[in-house]
Amino acid sequence: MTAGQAALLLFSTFGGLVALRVPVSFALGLACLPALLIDDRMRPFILLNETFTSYSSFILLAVPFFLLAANLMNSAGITDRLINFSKVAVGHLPGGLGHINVVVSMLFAGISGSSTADAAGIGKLLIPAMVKQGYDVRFSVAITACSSVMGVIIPPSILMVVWGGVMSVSIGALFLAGVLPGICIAVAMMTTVYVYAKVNKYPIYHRSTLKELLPAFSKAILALLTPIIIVAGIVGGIFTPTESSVVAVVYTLIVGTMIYRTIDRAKFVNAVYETGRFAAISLFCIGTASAFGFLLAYYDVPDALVDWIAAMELGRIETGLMIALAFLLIGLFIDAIPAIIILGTILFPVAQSVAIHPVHFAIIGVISLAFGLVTPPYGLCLLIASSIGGISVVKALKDMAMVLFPMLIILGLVIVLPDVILWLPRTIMPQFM
Amino acid sequence: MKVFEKLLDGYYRVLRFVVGLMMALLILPVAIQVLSRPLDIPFIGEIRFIPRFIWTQEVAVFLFIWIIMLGSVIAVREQTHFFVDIVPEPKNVKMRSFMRILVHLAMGIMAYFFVVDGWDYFEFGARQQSDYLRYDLAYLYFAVPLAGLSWGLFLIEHLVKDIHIIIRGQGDDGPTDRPDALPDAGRDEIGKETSI
Repeated sequence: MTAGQAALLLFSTFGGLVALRVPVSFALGLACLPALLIDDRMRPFILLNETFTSYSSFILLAVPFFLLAANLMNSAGITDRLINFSKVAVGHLPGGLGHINVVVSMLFAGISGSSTADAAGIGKLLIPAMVKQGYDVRFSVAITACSSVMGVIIPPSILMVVWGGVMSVSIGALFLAGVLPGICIAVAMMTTVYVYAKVNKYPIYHRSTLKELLPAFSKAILALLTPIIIVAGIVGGIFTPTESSVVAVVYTLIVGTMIYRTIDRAKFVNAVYETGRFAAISLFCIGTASAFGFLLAYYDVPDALVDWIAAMELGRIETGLMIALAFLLIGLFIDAIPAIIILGTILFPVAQSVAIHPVHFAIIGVISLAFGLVTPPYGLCLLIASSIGGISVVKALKDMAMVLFPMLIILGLVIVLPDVILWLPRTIMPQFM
Repeated sequence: MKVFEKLLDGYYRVLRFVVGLMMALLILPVAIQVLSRPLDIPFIGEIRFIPRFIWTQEVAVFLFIWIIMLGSVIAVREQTHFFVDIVPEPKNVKMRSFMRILVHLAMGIMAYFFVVDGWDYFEFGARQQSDYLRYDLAYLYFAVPLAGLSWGLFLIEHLVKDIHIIIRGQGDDGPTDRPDALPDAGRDEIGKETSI
């Protein structure tokens, strides 16, 4: 089989099965089966081994731990404290609750690394509150869903952990490179909220005094310290990403059980089980995606793609745009983790052929895939937010487009300005660049 | 049929318990690994709280793999594996069940491979030992045929339900609300009044 035929066979089988509503993780595994019939050298054993060994990665262990930290934060009421802090900090701006939503997502992102936990935890508290204050429910859903994607862009990030693990890029460098785009996205969203609130004349809170700011800050300080511990720990070489994720869990547990005393046994049991189950669902597809990716590589699909793109003589920026487009497209249909394994590994040599830095390539990929979290038909954060708001996904689309547009501009800037993105990791961790 | 369903229900509850327990246990080896790291404190020198362990990674990965495989079984029972709505779902109940039967059968093919070839894989594991603890890798590789077999059992359960729906023309065995698949997605607290 030529590379083109193999790619066509694999992707069309996969697409057909997904259209039939076969779960993505199973569709990826089943799409490998025709290769067994056609190619005598291929054995089920090889694919099974490819699937199974992909799980035995110590780095991937960070995924359940960052999820657990997020779930514990939600059940410990740490999310509420972050909301109160954001309220006194930015609540007085026009569209107060909208800004609070963005800022809390940013703070939450600094602790958890999971966008879905962000959308669920914050949406549950803020969407009803926003609706009660007269905000349009469609806008409330849109801003909750869109701001939650910062979870995977601002460090720590589950997607960056998977990316670093699969493509052997320094996770610390990825975390640092995500800081600046993350903050830019927050600013862009807050600008959108500001304009929206001015047009619709949304209510504002009074400006908080220092007297109100300090207690809210001191109540949130323990939570606000978490991202600093994690990022400093990894960047300073004290822990590996996996270890930092367990540090986040233990820290949240100590704060929740001993200091705030809000986590009891039932809450802990529930958080552990839900984490195990959700991590398993998200990570199971890593195995089948690895078998799928193995077959793509076996039939030289990545090399063929490099040749094909080289023939077009694209520059660095055009290639970057193409990479972003490919991730945006695949993100419409499948979860970000299998997308990284399938598309990331195919496009990695393409990026290298035009000298795009691996960290820059990763950030383009992660931000593009972050859009996929809120774009239908497969946008988990949008699904969660609209189910909390009690509206159909379609109703939120117009407002979504409005919030996403400035984010798209930031993605464009990230592609065009690699040196700005790489500045922070180059300054702090030059040894890993 | 009722007995079969009850047995599967019991099995499902055991799986939930085991996955929760393993997730809680998973914290320990990695936490021990962090603590076993020497701390280099200025003027005092290197301090090591507990001796360096090398087995921690192996134990963690062992638990991790079992969580993934058993969790995939739980999600087959709950029908919470992620799927995509590209083609609109048919309005007719029987048609919907028919479509789902196709999905169950497709997933059944994968279950078949995991059982049959997974058994060979398990036997391959039985001939190997882990790097540090020297435990028999069969204990780990057994997760493959077991997952396949368990998917198969729960798929049969769904299949029977959907066939019943087609015969009787009523009822529903579809995936429940999608965000249910998510951690703590606010099933119970949606719409609850908050202080803000």
